[in-house]
Amino acid sequence: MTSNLHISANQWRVSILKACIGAHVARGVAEDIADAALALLELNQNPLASLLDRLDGFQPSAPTPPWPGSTQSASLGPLQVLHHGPSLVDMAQAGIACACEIDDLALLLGLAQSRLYSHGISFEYSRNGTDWQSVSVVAHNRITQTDNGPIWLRKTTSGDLVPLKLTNLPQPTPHDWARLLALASQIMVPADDTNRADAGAGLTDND
Amino acid sequence: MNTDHSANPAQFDQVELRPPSTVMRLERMGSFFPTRLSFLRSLLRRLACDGMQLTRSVFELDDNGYGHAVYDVVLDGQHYSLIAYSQALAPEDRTDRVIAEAWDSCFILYDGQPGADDIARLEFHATQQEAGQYDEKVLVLSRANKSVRLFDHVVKRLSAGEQPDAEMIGKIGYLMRTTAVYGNGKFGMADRAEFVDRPSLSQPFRLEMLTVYLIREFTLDLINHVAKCRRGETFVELADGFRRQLGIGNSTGLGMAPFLIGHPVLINNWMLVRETALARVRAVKQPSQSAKERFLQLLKQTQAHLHEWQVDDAFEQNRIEQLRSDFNEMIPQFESLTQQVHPWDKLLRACQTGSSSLQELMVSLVLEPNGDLVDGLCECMEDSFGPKLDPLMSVAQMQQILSDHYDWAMQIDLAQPDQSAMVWYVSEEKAEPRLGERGADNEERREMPHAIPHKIQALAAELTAFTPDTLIAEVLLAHPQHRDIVRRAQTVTRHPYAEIRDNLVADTIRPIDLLRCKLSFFGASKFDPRSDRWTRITLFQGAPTARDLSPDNASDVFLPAFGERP
Repeated sequence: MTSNLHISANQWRVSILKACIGAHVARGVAEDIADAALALLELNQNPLASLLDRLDGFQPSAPTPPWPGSTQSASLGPLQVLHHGPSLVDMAQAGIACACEIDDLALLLGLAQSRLYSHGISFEYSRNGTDWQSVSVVAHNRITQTDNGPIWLRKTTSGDLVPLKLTNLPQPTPHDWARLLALASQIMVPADDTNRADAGAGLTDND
Repeated sequence: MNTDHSANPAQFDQVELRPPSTVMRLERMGSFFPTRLSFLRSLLRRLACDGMQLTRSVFELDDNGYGHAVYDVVLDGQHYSLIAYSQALAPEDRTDRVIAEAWDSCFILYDGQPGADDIARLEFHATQQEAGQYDEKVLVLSRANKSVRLFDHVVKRLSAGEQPDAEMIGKIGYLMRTTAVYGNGKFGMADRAEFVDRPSLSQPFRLEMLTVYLIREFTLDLINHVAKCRRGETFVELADGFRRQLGIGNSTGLGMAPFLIGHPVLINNWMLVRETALARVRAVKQPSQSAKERFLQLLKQTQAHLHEWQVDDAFEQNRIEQLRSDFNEMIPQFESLTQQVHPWDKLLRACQTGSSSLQELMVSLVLEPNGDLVDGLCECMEDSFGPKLDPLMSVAQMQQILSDHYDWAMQIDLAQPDQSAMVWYVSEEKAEPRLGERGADNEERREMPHAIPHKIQALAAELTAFTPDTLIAEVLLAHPQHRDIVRRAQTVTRHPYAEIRDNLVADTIRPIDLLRCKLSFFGASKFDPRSDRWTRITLFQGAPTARDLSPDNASDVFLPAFGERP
C-alpha cells in the first residue's frame, strides 16, 4: 500500500471532472467526460494519457457549428470531443445519424458507451458511412490517436440500464495521476489569511 | 380526510405530501430535527435486529491511553473492524478544522479482520488522514479530538473512585468529537459500489454511522483504561447510565454543505421518504393506546431536552428559547389533541402558525410512535442512478419545467448586487470549501456550481432564441455551457425535492441551515453553532451502548434528555 497508488472509481471520476473544469471544459460536458472515462476503464481501457494531452492547452472551438436542420441526418464538420462530444451522442440518441470529423475517437466511444449505463442505449459507428460496428464491441479494442477522423454515429437499441461494474479498474501511472491532479488543482483557490477566514471556523477548538 | 393512494401503492393511507415549495426552503431545512428515519436510528435498529456482537480483539494502550485497539463486529456474516490509533497531541495542535494535521485519535473501518501487519502498516497512513494512501480494504477513515475538559474531569473522578459530574456530562455530551468521517472511495478507499449490495449496508452513510458508533465504544473503554491506570486501587468504572449519556461529538463546517447541492437525487430521496412518512402518519385516524402513551412520554422528554439544550451562539440560543417557550405553552393543547381522532394531523396543524422550528420538531415527534408505518421507508433513501439528461426534450418542455419548478429562481432580481454577493469555492488547503464575498477577479472555473438561479435565468434567456419544437440536444450543441443546469432542471421533474429553493449566493445565505438539514438525517442532536457556517453536534447521545443494545431499546433514542444522575 505504501508504494502503489490505489485509485478508486470515485477518485477517478471526481479527479477527471475537476481536471476538465480546470482546463475550462464546460461543467456539464466535464461530467459526461468523467462518466465516459469510467466506461472506458470498465472496459480495461485507460483514457488518461490521451485525455491529459487533449486537456493541456484546451481551447473551446468557436463558433459552434450551425445546426443543419435535418431530422434524419446531419453533417457537423470538425468537432472537439471535449466540447461537443456529449452533444454528438445526444443527436445520435435523438435518432439523427451524425457525420463529423472528431479529434478523439476513444473518448467519443466512451461517451457513447456510458449511455448504456445511464440510459440503457447502445450505439454503433462507422468510419465511412456504410460499414457499421457496435460501439460496445469496438470500445473493447484499443484505440489510438491515429484512429481519429471522420465518424458516423447512430443509435441502435434502447433497453434496461446496464450496471457499470466499478471494481478492479486499471490504475494510472504516478506520472499521469500527478498531471491530472495538477490540472484538477486549477479549480482551487490559493490559500491566504483572508480566504482562510471564509471557512468561518475558529482556529483552535479546545474545550 | 383527503387521502391519496396513487403515490403510495402499498396498503398505507396517506394525506398529500407537503409541497417542495414549503419543504425545500433553507430556513425550514435549518430547523430540522432528527427523526426515527435518521441514519443512526436505522443503524441501531438493524444492529439490534441482527443481534450484533461486538468483540474487542486488540487493546494495546499504554497507561496514558496511547496505542491501538481493534473492535470487531459481524453483520450478515461479514466481519468489520474498527482500528483505533490513539496518540499524544499538544494542545496547540488540537483543532477541529479540516486543515489540522494531527489528532488525538485516528480510525479506520476495515473490511474483514486485520492482521498485525495490516494494523501496523495502516497506522502510518491513518495518522496522516488525507495524506495517507488506502485501498479497497479500508471502508471508512476518521479522526477525533478529545473534549479535554470533560475527558480530564472524568478520568480524575473515576480514578478517585467517584462518578463524574452529571451536569457536565449532559452539557458536553461526548468524550471525543470527530472532525471528519470519510467514505465512498476517498483517498483510494473502497467505493460504495464495492459493498452496496451487502444487505446490511445498502442505506446511505451506513458504514460511516457504524464507524462513529464503534468510536463511541472505544472512547468509553479508553476513559476507563486511563482512569484505572491513573489509580487502580481507587478506580471505579463509568456507570452504565453515564455510558449511555455520552455520545460522540462532531465538528462540522462548510465541507458538508456542497453535498446537498451536488447530490440532488439523493437529497430528493431523503426528503421524499421523510415527507411520505409524515403523510402516512397524518392519515392515521385512531392510533393505538400505546402509541398515544408513547407520544405523551416523548412530549415530556422533549421538554427536558429543550430545557437542557443551551448554546453560546446568541442567534441560535434565541431560537431555542423561543421554541422552548412555544412548546411549553402548547403542551396542554398537544395532550388534548392526542386523545382526538386523527391526532397526528391535528398536532401538525396546531403548529402551523408557529415557527419552522416548532413545526419541524412536531414532525419528528409524530413520526416517533409510528415505526410500524414508517421504518420500512428507510430502504428507499439510497440513489443508485443520479441525474440524467434527456436530449430528446423540446425547448417548449424545458421552458415548462422552468415555469413549473423554477418560478422561485426566475423571480429573483439578479441585477441586485446582494443576490450575487457571495461565491462558493474550494481552497487549495485540503480542498476545504469556503464561502466568501464575490470579487471582480473570481474565475468561473473556480466557483462551485451553487448559483442555481443565475444558471436557470441564463438558460431561460438562451432558450428564447430557439423555436419551441427544437430539441434540447440542439440547444446544447450550440451552447454546451448549459449542459449541467439542463440536466439538473430535468432531474427536478422526476425528483421534486431535489432542489433547494433559495439563492445560495445571496448575501442572506446562512450555510448553517444546510449543515443542520444534512446532520438531522444523520441523527444529530444538540446543534451547537459556533458561527453561521460551523457547528458542533452530538451523535448517539442517549443511545444504548453495544453491550446494552437490544430490539427492545433500539428505538428508544429520541432527543437526549437527562437531568437526573444515573
